[in-house]
Amino acid sequence: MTVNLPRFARPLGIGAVALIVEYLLLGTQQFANALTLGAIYALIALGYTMVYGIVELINFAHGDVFMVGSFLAMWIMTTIFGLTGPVTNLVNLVGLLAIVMLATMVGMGLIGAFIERVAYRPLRHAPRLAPLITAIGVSFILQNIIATAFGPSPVNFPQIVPADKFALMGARIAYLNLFIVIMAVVLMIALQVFIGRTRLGRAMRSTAQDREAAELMGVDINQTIAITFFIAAALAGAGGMVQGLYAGSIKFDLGFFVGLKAFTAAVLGGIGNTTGAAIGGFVIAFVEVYATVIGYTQWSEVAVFTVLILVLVFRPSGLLGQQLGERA
Amino acid sequence: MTAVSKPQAQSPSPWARLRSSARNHRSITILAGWLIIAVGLPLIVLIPPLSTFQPQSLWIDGFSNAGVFILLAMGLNVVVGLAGLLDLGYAAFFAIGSYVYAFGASPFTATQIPFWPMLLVGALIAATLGLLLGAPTLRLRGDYLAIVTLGFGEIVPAVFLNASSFTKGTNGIGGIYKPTLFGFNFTLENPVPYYITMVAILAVTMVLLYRLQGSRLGRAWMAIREDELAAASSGINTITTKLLAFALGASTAGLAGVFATSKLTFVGPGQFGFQVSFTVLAMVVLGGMGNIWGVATGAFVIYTIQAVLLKELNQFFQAIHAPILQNIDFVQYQYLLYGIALVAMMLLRPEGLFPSSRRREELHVDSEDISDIPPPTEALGQ
Amino acid sequence: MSASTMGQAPGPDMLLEARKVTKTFGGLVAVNKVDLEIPRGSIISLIGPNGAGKTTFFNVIAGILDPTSGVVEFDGQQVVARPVRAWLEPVTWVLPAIAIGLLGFLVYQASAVAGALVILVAIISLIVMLLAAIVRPVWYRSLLLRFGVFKSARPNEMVRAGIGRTFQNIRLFANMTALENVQVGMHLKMKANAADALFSTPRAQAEEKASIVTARQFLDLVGLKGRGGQLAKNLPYGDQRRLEVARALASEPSLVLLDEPTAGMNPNETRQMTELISRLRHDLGLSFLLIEHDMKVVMGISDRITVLDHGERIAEGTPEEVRTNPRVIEAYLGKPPE
Repeated sequence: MTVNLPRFARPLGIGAVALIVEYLLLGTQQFANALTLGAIYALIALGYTMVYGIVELINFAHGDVFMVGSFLAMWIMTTIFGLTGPVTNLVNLVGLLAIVMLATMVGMGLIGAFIERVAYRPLRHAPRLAPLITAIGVSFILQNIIATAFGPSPVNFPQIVPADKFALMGARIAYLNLFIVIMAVVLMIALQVFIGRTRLGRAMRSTAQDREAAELMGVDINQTIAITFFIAAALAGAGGMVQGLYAGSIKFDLGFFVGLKAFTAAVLGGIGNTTGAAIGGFVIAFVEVYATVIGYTQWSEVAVFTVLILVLVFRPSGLLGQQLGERA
Repeated sequence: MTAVSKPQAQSPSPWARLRSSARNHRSITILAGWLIIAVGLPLIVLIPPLSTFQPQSLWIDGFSNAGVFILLAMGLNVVVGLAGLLDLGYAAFFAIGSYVYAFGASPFTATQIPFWPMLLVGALIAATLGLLLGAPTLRLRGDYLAIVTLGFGEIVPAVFLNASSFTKGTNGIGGIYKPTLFGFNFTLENPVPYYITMVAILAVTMVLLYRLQGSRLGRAWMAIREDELAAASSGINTITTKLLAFALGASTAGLAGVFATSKLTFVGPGQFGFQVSFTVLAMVVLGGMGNIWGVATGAFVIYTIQAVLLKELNQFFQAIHAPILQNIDFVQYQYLLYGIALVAMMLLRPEGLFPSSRRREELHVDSEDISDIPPPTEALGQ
Repeated sequence: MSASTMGQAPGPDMLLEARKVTKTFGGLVAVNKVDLEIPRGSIISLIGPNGAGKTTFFNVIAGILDPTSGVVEFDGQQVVARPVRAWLEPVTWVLPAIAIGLLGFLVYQASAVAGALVILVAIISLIVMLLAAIVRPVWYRSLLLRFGVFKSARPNEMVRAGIGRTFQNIRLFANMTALENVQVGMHLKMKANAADALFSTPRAQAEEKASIVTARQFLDLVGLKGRGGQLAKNLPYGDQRRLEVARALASEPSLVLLDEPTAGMNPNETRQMTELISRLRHDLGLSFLLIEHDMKVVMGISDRITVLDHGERIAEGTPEEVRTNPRVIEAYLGKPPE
């Protein structure tokens, strides 16, 4: 009875249905917000899912890597470019955004790979608990370094994108929202192409499947894992930058809840599954925005946490599968 | 094994006898150890370098607070050290115990249930919530438990914060009643009754935990920590056994919460942030996971460093005008230090600063010198 | 309840009977309608080329995997994926619909159209369940499993029933002593509960001391006399394998599953292990199911051999019959050239 659809048909179908339901429930204006938030969550969730897929480690520090990313972007903008307010020249704006994003991504990627090299690689064969505890330690180190360097109170993020809006189906939507969503989609497509089409992507997939076999086939495991951490951290860095642009201010403990939400997104989509992580991000953002719409803003985190518990209880393998729920 | 077993006797023969009887009467040894500690600590702080930091009554007050963290660390040790489950939201159960006492004995709810039964009630309610959280998540792999408890640890204070009609939200509940015992009232001016109560709780808890650790249940926990599938294939019901460890850890935290609240006479959602869970985890890891005395020592040392030494260090460097050092606020860096310590410990010395001497005991038990065990039964069915 | 008195227990002659056990992973059929009988006091081997489904079949019997279909009876009782709490089955039909309906009600507050839409989905979900039961029975069954209508197999329940096992890649409790490893194996034979431990009752103390004596006897039995105090990870390889056997024996099973018991052993260690298995069968009346690659071992000690290839049973019989069976030779060596 099973029909052989193309591999991507199912995730696309689920994603489309989720988006339509979201749109019907939220209306255009809030839908745009949910979509923007979802794009940010998706970028972070991808990092959780990639790292888990390849080393079976929940990288607790990932939320904080995202936070460091936003501070790095802020630092580049203010200290190197001396930006404080909107940039009105479109060419300049696009150029600046591209440069800052590229620099943030590369910088964060290097930091991510460095963390892996120092804190996780030596523990690759240690008992399970050890890398988890290390990850928590790294998370605290990152938070406190930032709190020491930039202070414990919120820091303003330069709003270089003008707050102009355009009308769409009865709603007024900021160009920033458009930029964030487009950028996230481009990055996700680039990631899919990288994983699916390139030699390194193939190495990553084979390592995720069976590390020993991949090693026997000549895949450099250390390099592959380092690259995975690099990409994960780079995506989180991009997410951190747009988070700063979107929210206007950033704080040293920002990574905690965002990290938890992004992790929920990754679990919801089926951890280890990159497409699932993206869809999960949008669903979680929807839950959060919907809680706000019906007037329970302060309970949105509780709602997301409830989603996490429910998914773990009823469908630990996530919406899109990937067998993980391990009994016994 | 304990403070008693530090060699100082002259002739070897009574000493050896003392050691062997300490091994055979572990519970009494622990109680005796705590008695010595309880008497010794207030005396030690009268010795010059320590006595200059703060007066004796403040030290004793501080020791009671340290006791709360020792209790937390011993409870978390059951979960993390023995059963190998990473609980990152341990402060949530501490919060639950605290609020239970606040609801049970404060002008805000206009009830006044005595302190002593509330110790049990707080422990039981925390354990129940531990069961409710653990039941769905302990079936999954350990990593999921870690992230779920991480979330739980943030959500519980958030609920206490947001459900403000029941908890006075961010203001917290104040004026909580202090314990009384046979007409004797505990006061804030006299730290000694709290100190004695804390030591008694600690001593009893430690006796019970050691008994559990050496039992069939304790072995089952360790087996699950070492290899869950093999444990299940040895007949251990891994889910209920893990659940028991989780609930036991939660109940210890609930107990600590009741005590801490009765002493502070105030409870607010800001007291139970992730820092608390993280500090307790650092205590367990630094003390040596699975080693009860080690964990207690780790908790004591970290708490003392955090509450006293860092401040003293600041004052010291400022007093002598040490270059650079006098400008560093060490209190501000404590969590950074814990983070670095956690990573360093896992990389360099995963067994902790005070590794367990249990192995040596085990070796000893096995050297065929047990004379008081019954003759072999029909063990092999033949 | 624990039918694990060693040796002459009453009951059917067949200790274990697996009938038409099938296990699929997604579209892949790993084990296809395999039958297996283990008579009391016998040594049965399971052989086959790599990827033949031996380990999957083995894991079904050990309670780690649920079979997709088929029955496993041990001592006359069905042991894996047996139906329990049948009254729950209708609930599984209604529950998703109710859940979606509730959601619909909540949504209805916000937007009437969306609410109606969700309630429509609730009705559809009922129909989908009906279709699923007819069209995708496997999926339907796994759903029932999740709701607890079927009782899933669990390794500890297999041990309770009287099946002990060892692992292909040794899985000892590395940081516990050899003695403790065996004591863990005796878990179900001991009765002390948490309260006993907390109050250190005389019963618990006596049991604890007796367990040390018994555990030592098990260590002696497999030839690890005096090694009880060593950490499992510090034992030499051959001793670790033997310790695993001792741990499996400690639950006093009537059937022991050995997953490649001589893997990685030198000829001398292999010989010792084979002797140990025969001795245990003789002295204790145990039955064994082996997965083994070493044909000398298999042919030497097995009473009967079952051969799997591509998930199907291609031969069953005495070592002599299997050795000369053309299908077996073909499976191992490939088709002879025309």
